[in-house]
Amino acid sequence: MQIKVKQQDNVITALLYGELDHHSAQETREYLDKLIAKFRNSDLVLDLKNLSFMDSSGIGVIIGRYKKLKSDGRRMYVANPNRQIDKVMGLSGLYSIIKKL
Amino acid sequence: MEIKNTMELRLPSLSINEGFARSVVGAFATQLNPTLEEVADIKTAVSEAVTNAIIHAYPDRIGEIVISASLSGQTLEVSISDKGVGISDIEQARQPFFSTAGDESRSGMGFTVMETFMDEVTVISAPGEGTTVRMLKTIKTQG
Repeated sequence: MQIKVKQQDNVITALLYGELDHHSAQETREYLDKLIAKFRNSDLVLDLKNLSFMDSSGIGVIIGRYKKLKSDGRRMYVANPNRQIDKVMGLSGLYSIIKKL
Repeated sequence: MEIKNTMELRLPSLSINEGFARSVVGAFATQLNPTLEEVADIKTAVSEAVTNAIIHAYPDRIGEIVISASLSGQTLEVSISDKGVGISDIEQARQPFFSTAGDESRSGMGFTVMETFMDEVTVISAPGEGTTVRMLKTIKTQG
């Protein structure tokens, strides 16, 4: 997992590269938590354009970060999932709480 | 005569093997000329089953996971077996959002993903003996 970060105004965009599964979940979770703590007042966009695979371990990572941000009154979005990832996120009900840009 | 192809993969329950396992089964299934979406479905389902074995079957030790697959006609059959702790209540384990992993490492959606992405999912398990998840998917013949 590789993550690149862009910041503009009060929005941080994290671009995820590679595959998000149980193996890469922990480092992804830790990295995003640091990012959330560093930019205290920003909303978070997870840009999945360069993420080639995600299974339900990724759902756990995303929902966990969403809960953290929400408890701070901050927002989270996902963007550009491929068809496989879109299917996993749709099935899990993720889109009922997190908006796809 | 119809030729049946088979393969078997034995791996220690290390999380680094999750990507390898799903890639191998996905590559094996390409012999049936599936669409990219069908390959992605198979890889996702295998990833869920292998991850379950790594997290739940062997919570405190590294054990062996056996992945066997066969192609018969247009149907892929894949089994993921472990000799770990087993599942005491299979029906409960298959419920959406049910998880015994408390650290949000899983969303409780593993079996739901397998059932949605494959045509048939059978779980055989006994506490203390291990678990086998057997999944079938028929690849539609390309026009």
